Amino acid sequence: MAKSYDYLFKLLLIGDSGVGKTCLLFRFSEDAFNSTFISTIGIDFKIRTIELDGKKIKLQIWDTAGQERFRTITTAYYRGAMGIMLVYDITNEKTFENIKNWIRNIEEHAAPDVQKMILGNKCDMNDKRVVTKDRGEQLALEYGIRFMETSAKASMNVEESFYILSRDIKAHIDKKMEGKNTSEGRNPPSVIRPTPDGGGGFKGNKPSWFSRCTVL
Amino acid sequence: MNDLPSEFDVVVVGTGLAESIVSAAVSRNGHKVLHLDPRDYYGGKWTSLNWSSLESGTFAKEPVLESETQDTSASNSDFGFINPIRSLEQIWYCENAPSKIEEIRTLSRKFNVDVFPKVLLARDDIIELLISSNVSRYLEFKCISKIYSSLPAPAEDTIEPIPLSRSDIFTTKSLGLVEKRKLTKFIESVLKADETGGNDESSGEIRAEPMVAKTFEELARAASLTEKLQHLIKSAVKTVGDNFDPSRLNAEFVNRCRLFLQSIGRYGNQTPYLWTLYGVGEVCQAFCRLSAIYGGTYILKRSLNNLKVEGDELEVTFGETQLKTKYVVLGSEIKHTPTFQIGDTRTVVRAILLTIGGPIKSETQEGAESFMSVYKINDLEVVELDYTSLAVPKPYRLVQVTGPSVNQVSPRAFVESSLASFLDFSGTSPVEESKTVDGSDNKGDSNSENEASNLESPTDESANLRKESLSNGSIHMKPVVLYGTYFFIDFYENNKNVQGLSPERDSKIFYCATASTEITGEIRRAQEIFTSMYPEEEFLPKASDGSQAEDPEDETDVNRETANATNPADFNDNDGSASTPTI
Repeated sequence: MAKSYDYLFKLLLIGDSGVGKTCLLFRFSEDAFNSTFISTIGIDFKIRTIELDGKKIKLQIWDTAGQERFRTITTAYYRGAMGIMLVYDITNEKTFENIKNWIRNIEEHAAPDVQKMILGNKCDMNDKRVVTKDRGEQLALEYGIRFMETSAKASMNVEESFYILSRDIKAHIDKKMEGKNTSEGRNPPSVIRPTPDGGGGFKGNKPSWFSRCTVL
Repeated sequence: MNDLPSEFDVVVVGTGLAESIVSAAVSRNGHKVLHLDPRDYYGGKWTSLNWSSLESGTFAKEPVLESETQDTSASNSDFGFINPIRSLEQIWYCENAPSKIEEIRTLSRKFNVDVFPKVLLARDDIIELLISSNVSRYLEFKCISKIYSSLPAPAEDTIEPIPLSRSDIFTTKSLGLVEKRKLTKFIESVLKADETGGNDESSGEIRAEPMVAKTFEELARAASLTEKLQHLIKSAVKTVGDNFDPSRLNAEFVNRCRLFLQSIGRYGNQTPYLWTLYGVGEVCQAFCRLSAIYGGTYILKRSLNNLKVEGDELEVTFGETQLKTKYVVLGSEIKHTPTFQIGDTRTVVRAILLTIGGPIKSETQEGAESFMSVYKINDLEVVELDYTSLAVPKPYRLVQVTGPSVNQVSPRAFVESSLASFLDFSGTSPVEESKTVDGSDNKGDSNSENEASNLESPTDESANLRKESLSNGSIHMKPVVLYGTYFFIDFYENNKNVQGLSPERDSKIFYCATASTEITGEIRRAQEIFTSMYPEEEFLPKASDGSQAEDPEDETDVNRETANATNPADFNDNDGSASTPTI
């Protein structure tokens, strides 16, 4: 089967309820915006394929499923994540303060080399702003990660931020691959995702009890 | 708890397997679910712990609730906890090497240690449920590469691979020619007896009559299996907690034989077993995520305080929150005192061992080490995991031991004596061999003589003891156990005949507790509870792709093997570098 991408990145959105994580996701994946607030229901992840340096990159962007509300995000959510968008609302001080808590959470559960970025969302609502851009930049500097102010509603910097994060991940991976020693003896078992039989599974060399019977 | 709706359809307490499945099934069909857990992690006894959580032993203690909102010692509470874990004993065998201990502790996050580990048959009910519900999208597995069994007495200290294919049987040196033919015939008759068909092996030259109703003894006699063959078949197929009596009618056992055989190769797996990456705790979390996707509300460190019947509904309180619900579903750690009484109980002995120095059974060819193996040693099921399981970092191995309960012996004494021929419990790490063992006993309570003698044995001697001649003349060192956690887990049922229980109340409170130690038992319990609440509804129909924007590639993506082999950046890296599981 021909693959239609060169890279697959798993990205996560993290931040307090109501900061606009799902809106950012919709803006980026479907270029749509819905201002009525509904807590995240029914959104698992969204896919968008972008191109960087002539390579096709499939982004699989996961939403919190509302489990951030009482800080009950499963540890499983962080598995395999390569990039994380930390989102706060520039009109809500508390969501900004909580970024530190979310970073602590990430440090505890995500891979140590996960690429992070802080987004101050709702920057179209300047009249209600309580967190200055400076403070956002300062916080990001403290952790040595990137920062951007975005607006899912006005479609400001949404594309840019996802592209920047993806570029960072790609650079990180490419660097890692360079220094990699590929000859490491026997191949470890490969990852299995259960599917019904015949669903694009192992049609070829299926080692069932009967398959290796040529010797008998 | 502010901004929480005042009415729910179902309140679930506990995030163990059955509870999580019920929650997902109910929420999936549009009912409002509030899902609580008294602990600060998901999974209950099905959880997977990092190293510091394992070492802290809190999983064996009563949960600590969020103190601001809930008085943990509320004596007027209708609810209480039942801790299924007993007789916890934790020990560092390598106490003489504090640097090693420190190193392991700094790797805490790279451990995902199952409290109750499970290898899954590739055709187990749970795999089918994951597929049919589409929850499989959250999980990944790897296959166990080898299964070994100890031989019947007096050779119980010898372990040999269990042959799983015709070519295995053909090439194995441990069976005679006659035995090989008998085993082949037996396996074929078990497989051919599957009248429902479904497997694509259709050569069909041997026609056996259906054997579902036969006992294992009858089958063994019909195939004139030797004692050794019977032993191998039994240890391969038997699971912990199985009350397998070969003399009794045991269709289930024969069916299990078939499931076992048919599981081989389903996903290109050489053995029938799959291992859940990051541990079995991921399975609970996957069902919880599905529940949350469909609107389930999650709060941890909370349990119910009180419950009142109010007409058709239940009024429950936790902390200062009061809400109405139609049903309450309680996990196996929770009891509603007026409606609960411990009934049938099954106890399982557990050991979690951290080892170094290679696998228990090394293959003869140099460098060809197995990655994950299952050993059936007498009545114990031993799952040996290496870094590829993402449950333990390199170079360590996690040896997960599960067995039927033993009387009057501590779990530690029992496991140490059962595995003494295969593992070195003396605590001398190969790296630290130059150091001498501190003879003074400062390891706390040591009730086993076995341990005392180990402590006294000089280093060189124990190193010699570890050496074991292989048939090809090479020397194999027993893996050294660095750390052990030992305990019992109880699986019990609620004795439903509680006096004074009004019928309408009975049908509104459900207990997930089951005496079954199998995941299939948890699924059945979840299904029963769901059907009692919503008899008209389908149980966990396939969830639509949560990403709404359909991803046509996901269908082809499912076979990660090809994608991984060629794509260095695929996030499910299979190059096995557990140090970087994300990339």
